[in-house]
Amino acid sequence: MTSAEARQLRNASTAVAVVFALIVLAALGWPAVLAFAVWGLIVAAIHALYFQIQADDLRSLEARRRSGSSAWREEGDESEAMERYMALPRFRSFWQLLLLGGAAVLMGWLLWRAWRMPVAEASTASLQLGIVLSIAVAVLLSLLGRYAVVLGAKLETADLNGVAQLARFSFWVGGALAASLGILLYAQRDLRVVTGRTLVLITAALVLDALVRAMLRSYRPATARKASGPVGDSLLLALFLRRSNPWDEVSTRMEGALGVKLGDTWAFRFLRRAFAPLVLASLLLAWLATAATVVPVGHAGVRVERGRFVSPPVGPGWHWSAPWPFASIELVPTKRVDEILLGFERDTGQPILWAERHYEGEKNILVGDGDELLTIAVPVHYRIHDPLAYLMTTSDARATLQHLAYRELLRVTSARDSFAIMTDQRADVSATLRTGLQRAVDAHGLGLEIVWVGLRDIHPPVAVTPSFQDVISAEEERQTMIELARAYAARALPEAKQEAGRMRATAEAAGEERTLAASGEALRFRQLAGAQKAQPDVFRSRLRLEALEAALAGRRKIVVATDKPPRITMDARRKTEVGSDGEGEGDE
Amino acid sequence: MSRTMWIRSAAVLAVAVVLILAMTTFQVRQNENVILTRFGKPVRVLVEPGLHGKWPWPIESVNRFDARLDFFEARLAEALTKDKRNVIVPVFVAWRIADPLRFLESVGSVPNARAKIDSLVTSAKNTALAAFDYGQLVSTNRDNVKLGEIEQQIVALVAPQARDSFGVAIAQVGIKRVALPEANTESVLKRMQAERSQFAAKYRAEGRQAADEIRARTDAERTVMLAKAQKFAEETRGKSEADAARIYAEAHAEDPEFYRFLRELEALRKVVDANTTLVLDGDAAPFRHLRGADGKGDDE
Repeated sequence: MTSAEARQLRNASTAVAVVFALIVLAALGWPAVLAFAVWGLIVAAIHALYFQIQADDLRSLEARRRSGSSAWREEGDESEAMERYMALPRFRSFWQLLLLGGAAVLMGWLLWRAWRMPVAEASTASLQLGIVLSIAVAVLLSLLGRYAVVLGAKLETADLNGVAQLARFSFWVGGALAASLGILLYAQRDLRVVTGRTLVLITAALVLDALVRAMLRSYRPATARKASGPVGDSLLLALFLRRSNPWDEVSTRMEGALGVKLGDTWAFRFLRRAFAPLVLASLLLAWLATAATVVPVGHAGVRVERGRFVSPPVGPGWHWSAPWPFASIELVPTKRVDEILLGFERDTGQPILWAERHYEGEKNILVGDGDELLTIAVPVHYRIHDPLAYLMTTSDARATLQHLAYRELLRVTSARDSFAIMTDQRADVSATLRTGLQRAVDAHGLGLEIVWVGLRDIHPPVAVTPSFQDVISAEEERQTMIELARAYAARALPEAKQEAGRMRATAEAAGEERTLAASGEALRFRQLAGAQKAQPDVFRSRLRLEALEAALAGRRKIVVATDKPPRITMDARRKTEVGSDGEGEGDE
Repeated sequence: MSRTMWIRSAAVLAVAVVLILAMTTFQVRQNENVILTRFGKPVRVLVEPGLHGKWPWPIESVNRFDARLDFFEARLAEALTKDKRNVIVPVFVAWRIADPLRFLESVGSVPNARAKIDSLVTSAKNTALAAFDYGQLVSTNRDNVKLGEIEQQIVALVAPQARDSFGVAIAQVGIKRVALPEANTESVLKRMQAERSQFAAKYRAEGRQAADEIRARTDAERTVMLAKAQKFAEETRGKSEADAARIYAEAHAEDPEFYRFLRELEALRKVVDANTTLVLDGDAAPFRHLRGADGKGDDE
């Protein structure tokens, strides 16, 4: 291959990738654009690199051959160049796998996201442009594939088979995109999602194919391993894109890749002959299978015969109907109890504590005279009671029930006082809510039965809760203060009683003592009086002298024992002086 | 023809039959309406279920519409009541397609229809609310609450317009909640807090009062108890004092003269203490012996 040819091919690949990205932009939106652009660019880059290096090698080989240098040297150079030639593709095929895998994963992720996005309102002009571009690129790719085949034949190499296959695959992808856009534009059927998912699956299969082959290669003999396969070669693509019988193709391919001759086995020969009938028969069977429906436990089956819902519904078990599209049996889970929750958007799973946020998006409802707010969590359990009505009345029974339940909740709570709702009217509120909701559901003929309505959690808004809790604290404090005062009373009164008792006892004892002492003294007096009656003078003298002894002993005294009394000077501060002019004796 | 050729022809025929059938027939389900258009011109409106034939696309194409009720919530909008209070009243709308052809011509798709109905309902809701007081939305007096009337008024305002313009029947307009704007909600919360704290203060004051009362009563009781004991003690003492006096008097009355004598001696003992200086007559009883005489005898 010449360098000019290589450049041509490289440029073509790059152009294809860019244009490809543009089509996808028109058809699928941004995420898919990005994915396909990445994929296309990677493929283009790999091929460009591969052809460039290969072409350089060949060119240098050619140049040396033409220069006519010595034989041994020429041989050495040639083998060296050959070695490099053999080594490079193998190395690149590893990177190719890695990049393809990464691109496929990225593309898959982006496409799944695109699939979940609501279908954008695509304008007619952009759709038409997309179709034209898709077709143009498909044609371009088809030409590229042909070119690669011709080039491969001219160079007598199988290395370009892979490129040809990828080009042809991309041609089909472009065709599919154009078709899906056309269907969207003219038949208002959105097949973009299906197309996108199919492409993801095929790419994933290609990557898997390449990986498996890379793994199997290591089981082959060293010489076969060295001769690396052409880039982009794929069993799967070969299976679907070759014109000959696909099983023959698989057989030769497997032989080439694994060294096993499948074509000689009995099973393979049978498969080859029975292929077409088998495919037809299985398609027919698949269609007939739509006539049988198994209604699982807890469900009811509603027969739909030429678009009409047939009453009565059938119970669980095996049921026959005409095959699709003439009739079908739609399954409705009639026994399953579902739940909707009013009052908040999402349950965080936290404990339900009033002062902490336990639900996300809690809604406050106005009660009282519009002066009070309450947060209420109401679970409503319901089940489908009439499957026909359920299918015919509304498309989203769950959302409908949610709307109706909010309305009933407002009706039940708006004329009540918040404390009444929180306390004694709870049961009444939930019962009224249930009957009211059932009536509203029946009025629309939704075919639902309200099984249970509960008031899981009613509390004042989180911001007010501390105040509510403070009231409880205050009540407790009131009780505490009273209890403390009672404790004081319980301590003080017995103490007083004890004190009083002591005082009484002391007084009684003292009184008794006084009386007894008096009695004792009286007795003593009587005794003495009795005694002195016998000899009053002697008795009295004794007593008197005893008294004098007691009174005078140890006292300062002056005894005047003269007839002429001395002058006595009394000075309280000094010793008493007795004048010496008179007779007498001082006794101190 | 070989066996393979037979099979191939059969397969091709089968695929062709299926394709032709798929392109020329369509089904109308009981819960949907279909309008068949030929090159964009509506030719048939099918509301009854069944299998129907048509020319293949692109000559004739099928437009399907869900004939069931659709519920959606109108966009949140603040409105003013008659007594000039701002309220947010979210409402839901239940509607279904009543005239498929008009629906196709005027709105064409459910999201489009919802947007149009939303405008009608929101405007009607604001009109209806302006005729009612706030107290008619939320009130503890059940007879004052006029939510049902408001809903009916909205339906009455919206239904003819929706039917004539969009081919849509309004089955119900329901008020889901009555809410206040954020700022007003804050005030309500503050008011609730104030109301609660009033109770808290009341309970605390009650507690203090009751406790003080109990303490005061206790103190009073104790004082009375001690005073009674004191009274008893005094009385007891007085009584025993009296008893003692009586006993003394009884005993002394038996020999008053001797009692006086003994009492005088006792008084003498008590009166003369360590600081007393006595000047005594040497002729007195024990001292007369100091003069060496026998004395005149101990008289007295």
